Order: sequence, then C-alpha cells, then structure tokens
Amino acid sequence: MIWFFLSWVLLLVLSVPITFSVLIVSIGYLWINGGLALAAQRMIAGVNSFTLLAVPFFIFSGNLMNATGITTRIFTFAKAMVGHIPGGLGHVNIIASLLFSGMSGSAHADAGGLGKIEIQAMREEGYDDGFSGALTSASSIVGPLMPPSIPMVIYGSVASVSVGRLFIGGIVPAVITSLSLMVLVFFIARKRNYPTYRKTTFTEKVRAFIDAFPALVTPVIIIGGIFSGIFTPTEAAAVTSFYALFLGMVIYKSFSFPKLWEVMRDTLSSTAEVGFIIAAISLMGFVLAREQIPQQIAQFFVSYTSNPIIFLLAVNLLLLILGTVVETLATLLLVVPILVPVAISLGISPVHFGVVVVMNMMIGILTPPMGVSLFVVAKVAKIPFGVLAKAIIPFIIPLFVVLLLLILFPQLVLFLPSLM
Amino acid sequence: MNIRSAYEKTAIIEEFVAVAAFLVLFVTVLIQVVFRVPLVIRTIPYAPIWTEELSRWLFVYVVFFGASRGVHSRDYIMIDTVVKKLPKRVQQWIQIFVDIIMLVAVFMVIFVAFRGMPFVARQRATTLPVTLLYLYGVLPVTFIIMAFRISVSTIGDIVIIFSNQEEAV
Repeated sequence: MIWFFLSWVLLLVLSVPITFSVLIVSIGYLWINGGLALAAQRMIAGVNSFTLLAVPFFIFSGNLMNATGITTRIFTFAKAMVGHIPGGLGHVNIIASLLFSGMSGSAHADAGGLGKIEIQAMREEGYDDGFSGALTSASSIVGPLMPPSIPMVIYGSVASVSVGRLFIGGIVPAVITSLSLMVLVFFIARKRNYPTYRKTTFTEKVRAFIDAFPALVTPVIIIGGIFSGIFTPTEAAAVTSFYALFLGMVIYKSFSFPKLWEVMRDTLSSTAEVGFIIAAISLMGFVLAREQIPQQIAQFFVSYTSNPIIFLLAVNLLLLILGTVVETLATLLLVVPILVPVAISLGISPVHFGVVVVMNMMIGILTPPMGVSLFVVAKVAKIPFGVLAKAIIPFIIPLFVVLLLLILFPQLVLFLPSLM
Repeated sequence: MNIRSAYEKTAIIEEFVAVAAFLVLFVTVLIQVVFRVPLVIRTIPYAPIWTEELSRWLFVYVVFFGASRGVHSRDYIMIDTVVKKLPKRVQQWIQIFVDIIMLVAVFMVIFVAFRGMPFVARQRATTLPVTLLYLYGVLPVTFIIMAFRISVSTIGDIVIIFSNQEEAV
C-alpha cells in the first residue's frame, strides 16, 4: 500500500494529470492484487448517478446567465441598493455575488463572469487592482455556499447525504460570509478613502429591482422548489437551465446560435473535467476500501479524540493545509468520504460537516499557491497573480472567523434544514 | 500543416456526441419534471419510467466523450508547480514521460473494459430495451479515441524536443 501512495505522489509531482495518475496506480494495484474484473464497472458507477446530474445543469445555467447579460442587471441592482455605503463598489461587488450565487453553483462562474464586470467598474472608480481582484475572488466563494452549489452536490453524492438539506443549510453561512466581508470592506474603505455613490431615490431602487426581477426569481425557483419538495436538486437544476434559456431567448433576446454553442462547449468541458475525475477517483476509492484505509484513518482519529469540536478543528486545519497545495475537488472526493463516517460516529450531523467542509474548500480556492479562484481572476482581469496573492491576505481573516463560527455553532447551519 | 488543421477539426466528433447527449439529457429531465405536475398526471395516463435511467446513461456519455475532447485540447487538472521550476529541456523530457504514462493508463482501461464486455452484453437494462453494452461500451470507444489523441500529442512533443536540438546546434 505504501508503494501505491508513493508512486501516486511521484506521478502527481511530475505533473501527470490527476485523472490519469489515479487511473494508472489504481488499475496497477488491482492488476497485482486481483479484482481487475470490477474496474470498468467501478469507473462507470462513479458517474452513473442521478444526483451528480445536477452538476452539468448548474454549470449550464450559470454560463447562460453570464451570457444573457443578466449579470449586468444584477450588478446595477446591487449598486442601487448598497452603492452609498463607504466603500461603495466594494459592497456592490459582495451583494452582486450573493445575488448571483442564488442562480449559479460555481465560484468560478462568479469570478469569471460577474467578476469581469465588477473589476472593470472598480477600476474606473480608481480602486487599485489588488483590492478589486482579491475582493472579487473572496466574494465569489459564496457561490457554492448559497444554493445551488456544485461542491455540495458532489459531497452529497459521495457521502450519501441529502443534497436538498445541504443546499438549505448553506443559506445562513452564505449570508454571514457576505456580511463579514462587508464589515472588512467598510473599514478598509474608510482608511483608504474609497469613493461612494450618492444615495439612490426610492423610484430608482424600484426601477433597478424591476429590471433585475426576472433574474432574481431564479433563487426562488431553486430554493422554493427544493424546500417544498417539488423538485429534487437535479430537477431544479434542469428547470433553472430551462428558465435561463427562456430568459436569454425570449425575454432579453440576447442569444445567437454561435453564442449558445460557445456556452454549451464551456459547460461540457467543465462537466467532463469534473465527471472524469469522479470516475477515476471512484476506482481509487474501491482500492482504498479493499485495503480498509478509511477504517484505519477513522480509528486514528477516534483513538486521539472523541470530542466533536476538537475533531472538527483538526479536520479543518488538515483541509486548510491541503487546500493551499491540492486542488479542492480532489480533496473533496478522496479525503472527505473517509471522514464523514467518523464525523457521524462522533455525533456530528453530516449536513453540518458538509457545509463546514465546503466553506473550508472555498477558503482553499483563495489560498496560494493552489488558489484556483485567484487564477481565474488573474486571467479574466489581467492582474498579476503575485499582486492578488498578496492582496487576498486581509480577506482570509473574516473568512476564518466565519469558519470558526460555523464549527462552534452547528445551529447556524442546521436551523433552516430542520424546518424542511 | 494541412494535416494538423485537419486533425484539429476532428475534435468535432466528440463535441458533437457530447452536445447531442447533453441536449437529449436536458429534454429527458424536463420530461421527468413535467410528468410530476398533478394536472399532467391526471390528463395523460402515462408514466415515463425510463427517464431516470436514460438520463444517467446520457450523463456518462457526456462525461467520457467530453473527457476525450479535453484530451484533444490537453485540458487537464494537474499540479505543475514543481515541474515549472525545472529547466526547459528537463520539462520537455518530463512531458514525454507524462505522455507515456497517460498512454499506459489509457491502454489499461481499454484492456479492462474489453474484458468485461461479454459479461455486460448479456445483462439487460432495467427500464431501457437494450443491454448494458450500450452503457459500458462507452469506455472502450472513448478510450480508444483518447489513445489516438495522446499518441498524436506525444509525437508532437518528441518533434519539439528534436527540432529544439537542431536549433541549439
């Protein structure tokens, strides 16, 4: 087994793509130790899941929303609401991300689509690139906290936890995260004297609201549909995509055929990327299960502590460290399924654990060197990665505080799902 | 150069299958939702029991054909922090090594998938009127395409190394 891990790490360090490195060591292991007959079945079984089907649809709807220009309307609406607070556009950035997160499940769709508009506006107002880019990355992490959420769909399917409950459990943490960032922006803006907008009149607010209304309905469809039990998350995802398509084609008339093809290609390439890794990693999961690795890790944790808080703190520390160097999806698929049974045996709700883990992973996409969200912002806004990596530091602090609050007060996560 | 641009265009094969599968998948899930609405249930005496299985299968198609498309454009998630720090020449040789590792992995999957074929060809799907060959068959098909694509990029990488050497001389 030690050879299994050593060769895998070696392949990863030599920049073999994650999927192929996982495939070769897993099949190699089964070749030597028997069990090869089940390999193909395992790979297919990993992605042959109705729950996971929500992933392509939520990616699709997020891409469609960006392509329809809905994102611009959301931004204008947010500006009318919070533009007058000190740090004006900073708050607009956060609120727009929170609103957009109700229709998109991926932080990268937020940072890459809405982020472009946000950073451009902030540049015109004289905000420095580091602050604008780092804030855009930091605020984009509410995307996967607020339902819909792609990481939660994946967590729910690998850990056999209700995705609907996870979604609803993410709402309060998403709002707290946004508020904590707003507090930080408020203080930074006062210190650096960032500009504000004049307060909008009531009629202007109403006008902006009406303009953004069709977009603002989306979270109602998703949250309402899942909360009331009308849709499964997968169905909600398909309905949202349909709605986004309807908005783009009928209401805003902003789609052309080449644009749709482009959106479709983007969607499928992200879907395949995620799905292919899941297929490979379910094969590796099979190998680990045969070697009883999950049980051994569980025993290791249980022998050190039976206190759920200490367990959660230890796990989060581990995940934060992993998050700086490992791509979050790989952690979510490999490490998390091992830890869920331990969490349950210590009396931690799997929904609570899931939301905490997702929050942790979202900090992981912000922390360099493997800060994927910073890569996205650096690419779309043409800001040097080094500048972002430095500017992100103050934003991590409030996020740590929120993570700690979520660990210490499970009710913040569990209250809303308990009403379902 | 013409051969290269012709090769670039072959990506349309996987793209087309993936997009088609995705569109059918989209419609299938919508059908499933529509037949949940009480009014529809009362007026149309039909329950589409096949939607769940069909949509799962189509998703598998989307993933593997999409993955093959990703191999064509060399779109991978990997950790290149260490390798990027090495000298250019070493990086090029490592790239060849990576290509070979990927080829081995792909051939292993093809072998494993073919071994399972006679078994799945005898099993019938739960709600669809076909055998599981249509589900598991996606593995050998897409991985053979991937093997071809990786071979092409390996040749490309070898050519780069040797053309660079000539420049150095």
